[in-house]
Parts: sequence; C-alpha cells; structure tokens
Amino acid sequence: MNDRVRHILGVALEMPEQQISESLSAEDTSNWDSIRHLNLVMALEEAFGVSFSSDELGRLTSYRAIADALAQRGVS
Amino acid sequence: MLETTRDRERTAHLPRLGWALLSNVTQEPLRPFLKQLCYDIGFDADVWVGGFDTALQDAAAPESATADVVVVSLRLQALAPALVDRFVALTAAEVQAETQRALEYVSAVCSEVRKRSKALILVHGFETPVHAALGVLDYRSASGQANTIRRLNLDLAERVSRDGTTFVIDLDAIRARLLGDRFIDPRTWHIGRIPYTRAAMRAIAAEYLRVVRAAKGRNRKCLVVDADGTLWGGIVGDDGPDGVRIGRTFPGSAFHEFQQALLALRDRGILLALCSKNDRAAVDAVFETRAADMPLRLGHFAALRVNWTDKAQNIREIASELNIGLDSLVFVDDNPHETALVSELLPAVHTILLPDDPVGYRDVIESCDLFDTLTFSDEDRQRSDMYAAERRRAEEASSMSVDDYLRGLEMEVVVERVDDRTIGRVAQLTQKTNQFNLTTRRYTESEIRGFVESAERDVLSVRVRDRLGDSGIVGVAMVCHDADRSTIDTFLMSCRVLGRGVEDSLLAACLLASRRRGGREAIGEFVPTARNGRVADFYPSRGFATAEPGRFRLALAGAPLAFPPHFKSVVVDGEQVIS
Repeated sequence: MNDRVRHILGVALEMPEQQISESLSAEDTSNWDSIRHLNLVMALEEAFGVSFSSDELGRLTSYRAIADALAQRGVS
Repeated sequence: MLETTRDRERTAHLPRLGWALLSNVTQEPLRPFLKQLCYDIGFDADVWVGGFDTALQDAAAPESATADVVVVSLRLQALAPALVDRFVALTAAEVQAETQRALEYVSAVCSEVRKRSKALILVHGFETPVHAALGVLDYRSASGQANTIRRLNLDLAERVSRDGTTFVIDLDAIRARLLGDRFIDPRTWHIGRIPYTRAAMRAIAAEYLRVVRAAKGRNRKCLVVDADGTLWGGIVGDDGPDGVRIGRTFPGSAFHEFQQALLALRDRGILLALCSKNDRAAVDAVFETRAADMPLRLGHFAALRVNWTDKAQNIREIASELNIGLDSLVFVDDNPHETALVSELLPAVHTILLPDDPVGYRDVIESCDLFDTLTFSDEDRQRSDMYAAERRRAEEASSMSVDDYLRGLEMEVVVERVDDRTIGRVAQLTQKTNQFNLTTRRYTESEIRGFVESAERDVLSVRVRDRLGDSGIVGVAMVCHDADRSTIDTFLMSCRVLGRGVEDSLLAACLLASRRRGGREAIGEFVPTARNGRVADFYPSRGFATAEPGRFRLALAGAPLAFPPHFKSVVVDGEQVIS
C-alpha cells in the first residue's frame, strides 16, 4: 500500500516521489492546497476502491491519516 | 497519468495544443485527463484554467486568444440556481427571464472568444435534472423543469451552431453512457465546487478529444469487417448459407442490428470493407440467398477481400485499393487471433475484438468514437456510391489504353472560388487529406473564411464529374499573392481521383490566377510529413525549379497553362477553358 500511496500523493500534489515521506502533512507542504487535496482524495478512492464521507475527507491531510484510514478499510 | 516532471520532459518535443477552460466551476482536475489524452494522439496539451466564475472576462484574456481549443463550461447550478433549486416557486415570467439570461451569458462568452480567435470552441450543454422539480407531473408539461432545460439546450445548440467551429458537449449523453458509474460527486461539489467524478471527467475530456481528433485529421475513414461470426452467426462453410444466423428474430437479430449499425456508418460517409477467410462463392451465396434477412448488400462494400490469405496482407491491399493510409482503418473481428495478428503486424490499424455475446456487437460500433467529422456534406452522403463507381472505372480501365480510357470518361472539371456553399467541404478536406497534401495545413471553417475574405488570397476548389458519377469537390488550393510573387501554400487532392489530370488542372488554375494579378513567379511549397512522400516531386515534375528545400519556383512568363486535353470540359472561375 505504501508505495502506491506515495505515488498517488506525488502525482496529485505534483511533487517528486522522493519528497513524499511518512511525516508529510498538508500543514507544512505548500503544494497541498484545497483543490489538489480533492484531487488526491478522488485518486485514492479510485485506486483503492474505497470511499470517504465528506466529513472524513477533510481530515485526510497527512500521510499518516491517509494510511490509517486505508488500513481501517482493510487495505494492506 | 501524465503529471510528473519526467512526464513533462516526455511531451516537450510534441507540438503544443493550447487549451483555455472558462467555467463557473472548478476545472483544474480536468487538466491531467486532457494532458494524457492529448499525449496519446501526439500533442503536448498546454492547459490554462481561467478564474472561478469569471468566464466573460477570461474570454477576453490573451490565454483564450492564443488557445487552439476553448472550453466554455457554465453549470446551470451556478449560472441560474433558481432554475435548478427552486423551479416550482418561479413564475412563468421568471423562468423565461432566467433561461434567457443564462443563454445570453453563454452566447456572450462564446462571441467574446470568437472576436479574437478562430479556435475550436466547445460549449457544455446544461444537465437536465435526474429528479425533476415537480416529480412525475413535471415531464408531462412543456413548461416543467425538465422540458424547460431541454428547450434551453435546444436554443443553445441553435445559437452556437451558427458558428461553424463551435461544438456542443452534451453532458446528458455522457452521463447516460457512464451507466453504473457516478457522474456527480456531491462531496467535491460542496467542498471545492468540483461537480464531476473522475469517471465523468475522463469521459468529458474524451468527448473534447473527439472534436480535436476530427479537426486534426486523426479520425478513421474506413471500417474493415470480418464475415463469419461477425456479420452473421455461424460459419458459412460449415452451416451453409441457409444455416447461418441472421434475421429479424433472435439469435440472428443481434447480427441484423449490427449490420444496421454498419449501414448507418456508411450513411455518414464511412467506407465499409469486407475481409473474410472464405471461398468467395460461399460468401456470395449468403448475400444472395439470405438477402431478405440482411440489411447489407455486397455492393455496400467499397473493397472486398474474400480469400485464404492472411488478414494483415488483405488489409494492406484494401488500404492501397482505397488510397487511404493504414491509420485511417478500423478492423473488427470476433476472432482474437485475427485481431491480435493485425494489431501486431499493422499497429497503425485500430483493431476491435467483438465481445463474446453478439447482442453487444451493435454497441461496439455505436460507441466507437473514431469516426467523427466536423462537417457533413453531400459528398459524405454519396462517398460510398462514388467508390462503387470507382470500382467500375477500374474494371473498364483494365481493358483499354489509358488515354482512350480517360477520354471515354468524359470528365468535366470545374475550378471555382470557395464560398459559403463549399466552405464546409473545403475545411473538411484540409482536415482529412493526408497523402496528396503538399503542406498538410489543417484549417477550420472560420480560418478559411478569413482567407476567402482576404484581398491577397485566392482560395480555389475543384469539382469533377464524369460519365460514371459525380465526385464532388476533390481538391483545394490556396494562393497567397505578394507583389509579383504568388505562393501556393496549400495544395491538396482527394486520392480517389488521382492520375486523371485533375491535379494539373488545379495547378494550372493557380498559375492563371497569379498571372491575372500580374504575377511574375509562382512558388510551390512542400512540407514533408510521414504520409505525403508520394507528392515530394510534384512541383519539380511540373517544371518548377528547386529554390531551397521545400520551396520550388516557376517563372510565369512563357510557362504553359497545361490543362490536360482529355477532359470533356474545364471551367475556371465561370470561364470555359477547354470545351
């Protein structure tokens, strides 16, 4: 899962994959703006076949939060 | 998907295709889909997204003026929210005022773009409600919400279609084609004003590309079909002509519908060709004895290859017989070995493997989006019949000398200035012609209209008719005059009339036009492409001297105006040159 998440983050945030670490969060990443965030969530949903509520979607603002939410849905 | 830095380097060498997206919703997420689809057809998409809900101002921005494609997507939800959210509460007058305002705004954005640019304009139609305002009652009233928005779409189509280079993107049709996939995502709509799901955006971008492909001459012209298992169920060699499944009732009805879909393509001017591993007599027998059960006739096919040779070889021959490139062909077969062989040996041919269940065949043809054209003329309607006449010409030609044959055709050639009547066909020829095309410059109707109105240019088309049929407009030339020099910057001929001297008549007419304006020399331009090698020597073989690579010069004084003598008549600009 981690490699795919990293790839999707890189594409959606338009950043090189090497810069995507597990400590990445929206707070300290200038590219992680609101539109790219929505792009990112849509891409994650499509890639992993999951879906997030509108509430939850706003909280997926770090690598960790995304990995946890996917793990909760049984993605490994 | 093309989004990373490495991808940007990959596309850098491709020709740029500029896009401007003008909208009242967030269109940013469409960008990667557009970039990918453009890359697939050999373009580097440069996508500019206008501001949020500033379409009218953006229409006047330099990015819109320099774009090749301008997309105007104004969602009714944001443009006239009362029509969507509170329709029942509106009076008839308010409905009228709101719809009129929406229509005027979209029209204003389009005309603002058109003032500065000849770009393709793609206008989104309005989404009709999935749940109409007044429930079941809504649909029976012409003034209900659903029918009001449908009428608004009709008015929009009527309004924008006055411009030959503006096209409507029908969101309702795209939504219906998505079947199970969701079209609208309420979460991204509420959070970021992104209305559409990824599946929807992919489909919307693909719809844009249909128009672009047609404008850039990337669409297909001919469909090659297999016979056994494709046109009918079963194998004629085993089941006999009476045993194959074709007719009005199941299971033959699936093949009957498939044949109808092929005929509908033929009506649009797409050529049909038959390529079957069979004895010719067996296939003929099906067409004869089952004629009452089949919409298709052998005469509907522009080329036939019924033999035991491999299909790649047969398809090569079909392309050369019809004088079109392999990249103009689509090949359909029910046998995965055949489609695999053809896509392996002839990668330029687009191959389609039919689904296991024949009831799905029809949809394969109808959903194939590779046959779009931007105009539809009488030439398209009659194209297949013209090819049938061509087959007869070829049969006659094989039995006599070329000269006698040409004289016997009693050809009448008319060269005339392009006008409103012919501009659609002329634009189409510049967009579709690949082989006999000296410069391969693609033009839209509005660009050509600009040339026609320009005082320095002559824009000429040539029509041909003979004893066996009318071929319509088959060639275009554009000559740009500057002092005493005339440059032929566009010269193209439809391949179906080559070798009969029509190209020489058109060239002579260009020289005549130049001489009448006091020209002293003519320059012929040649821009090589992967597909126009056969005309590299066109100008030298007509007495032009090489001035530099791609430019050929002819002094007009004393140059003979060589109208070939075998024509019954040649008319240039309304004047009889040969009769």
